[in-house]
Amino acid sequence: MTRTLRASLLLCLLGCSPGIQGFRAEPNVICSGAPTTLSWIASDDGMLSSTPPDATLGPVPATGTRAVMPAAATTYRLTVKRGWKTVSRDLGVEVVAAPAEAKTIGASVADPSTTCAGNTLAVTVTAPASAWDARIQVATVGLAPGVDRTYHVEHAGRSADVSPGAPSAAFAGLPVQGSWRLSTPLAPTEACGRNVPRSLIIEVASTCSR
Amino acid sequence: MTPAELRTRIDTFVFLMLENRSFDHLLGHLRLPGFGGRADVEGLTALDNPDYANPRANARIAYPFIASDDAPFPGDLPHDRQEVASQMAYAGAAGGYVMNGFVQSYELYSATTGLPDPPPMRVMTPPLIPVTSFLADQYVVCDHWHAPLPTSTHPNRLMAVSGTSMIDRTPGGLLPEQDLVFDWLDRHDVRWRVYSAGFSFFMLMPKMWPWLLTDRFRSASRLAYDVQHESSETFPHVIFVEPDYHDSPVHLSGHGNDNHPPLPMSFGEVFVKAVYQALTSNPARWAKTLFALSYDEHGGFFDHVPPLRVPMEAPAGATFAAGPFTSTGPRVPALLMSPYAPRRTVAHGLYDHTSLLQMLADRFDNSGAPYSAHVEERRQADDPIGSVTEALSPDARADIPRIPDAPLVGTAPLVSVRAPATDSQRSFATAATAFAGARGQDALQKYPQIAQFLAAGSAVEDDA
Repeated sequence: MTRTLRASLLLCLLGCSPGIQGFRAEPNVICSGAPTTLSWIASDDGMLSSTPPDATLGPVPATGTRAVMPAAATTYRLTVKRGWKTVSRDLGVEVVAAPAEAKTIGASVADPSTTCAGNTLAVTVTAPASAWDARIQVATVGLAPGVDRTYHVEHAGRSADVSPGAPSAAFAGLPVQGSWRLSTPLAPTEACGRNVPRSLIIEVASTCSR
Repeated sequence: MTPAELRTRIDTFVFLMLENRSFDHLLGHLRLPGFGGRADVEGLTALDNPDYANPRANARIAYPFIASDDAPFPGDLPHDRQEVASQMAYAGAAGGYVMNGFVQSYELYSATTGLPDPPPMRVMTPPLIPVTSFLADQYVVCDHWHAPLPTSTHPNRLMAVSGTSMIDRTPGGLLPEQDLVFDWLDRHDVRWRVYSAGFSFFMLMPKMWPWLLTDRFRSASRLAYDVQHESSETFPHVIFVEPDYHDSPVHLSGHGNDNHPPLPMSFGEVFVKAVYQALTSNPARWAKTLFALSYDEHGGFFDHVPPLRVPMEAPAGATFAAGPFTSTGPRVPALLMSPYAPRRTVAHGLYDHTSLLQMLADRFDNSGAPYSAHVEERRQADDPIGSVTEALSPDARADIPRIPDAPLVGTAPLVSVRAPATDSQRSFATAATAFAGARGQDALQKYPQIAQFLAAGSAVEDDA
């Protein structure tokens, strides 16, 4: 067999590296100690681990799900090995532990939901129900650090204006999950198509319902 | 410096292009309070600047964060053409790119969610990159140097050595024939040489195979000796130094040193230091040398500066699957080191890899003609690409800074032979196989890595 053919065979034989087609947690923003489900699809059996460590994790089949209940923010790692090659994927689960813990959410103005008309820039921020534990509720809504403008915020049938240093309690008790419509008037130096903010972001002080 | 000044001051040009890091990832810290706070650098002003906010798929915002170590990445970051487009995030409402799609692009690519510290937002600091940091402090930082094309490695490397690219994506095989900088240098009677620390990228170009077996291609381990001892009658004017590419299938040292993720930075830091020490080991030769260090493209890492408006149609005979380019890629780190590169200086000019080619034209073509029509098109764009000549001072400095010894902390598993898994890796493996098939024992003697690669093929065949 020629050298070229042998090397081609090598490419063929070893080209089938292990793979991880998906590794997800739903929901991935939860209340402390609440359950979330890890799911994965990989080419081979693997190893599940976490930081901080969870002694109940270990070897797992190539495809599967696993319920976990982290008390604090945790990074999970799936590692799959075949022959010489190892691949791994990380995912994070965020935990609302302290009362009124701030979570910054937002959307890029490149999002298809963005509108810019007249003097107003607006975008829809979607906190997916698949990602957010339904028991995480709003305490207050404020502006993210460095944001020095006024927002008009709409969520779950309520609305309020939010200014720097003046968080609003208008959304208190509502679940964070769902759609948030954020809009802001443009400054004199801004215009649609020129010099507008790159994203609209708010800080949602969150708490967990009992 | 003007082209006329360049002709009398620089005799040796040394180019080293590493892999896959953005400007903000490596040098954005220069502007941060606590890391120098250099307001002269277009770096990161504050980690929680709203302009840097990158939404995750779950709407949570990720900001740049200070890396705690130089640990290897779990894998590569996305940086093909379509992925770069989503990272740069064109927004009609903004009339341009808003540079905040890096995290969602990574989540999609890695099929994962909710990472607390998404790899694209990692910001390196001096303790983790002591060599790069030292050189950035001692010489010229170019803070508006972009990858020429918003796509992956091979098209951008072709831009660097040709001024244009016949491809818009990295193929899984050999590269198309193009007029290369070596052809240009030969036409202008300029001596050139390539020093490689591993497989040469030029092995991917069959037209370069005859050269690969000549003295024009040498091991990087020969560089210091040649700098110190070779006669000026034969010493090259233009030197391309190549790292040991991570995407090569064989690493005699057990790892690449081109800084391509998942590699940590430490191996590349050692290599850059070795090249710099080699070049400065002969002060007389260093006195007329320019060493340009850059990166081929951003590799999927966040950068906050939008790309330059530099369009590029597919050249004659080529077809770009996704149509013409309308801009450059994101910024990449670039340093200029020379007696004519003043300490702690920033070049704010608009540059990309073709800026090096135009500098060669400034130096070696006395007619004043541009390097090529393709490069000239870029110089006439809405955001005109400059020549590196402009970034140099006409006044020489007398000192030669010495890189201090510093611990390098990043490590990675040693893997000598690796199965190709990406298009770029398949490209290298295919090139090594085809080159050995065409050139036989001569190729194996000069490049023992290929023999090792082929031997691994035999072993696998036997096992099978």
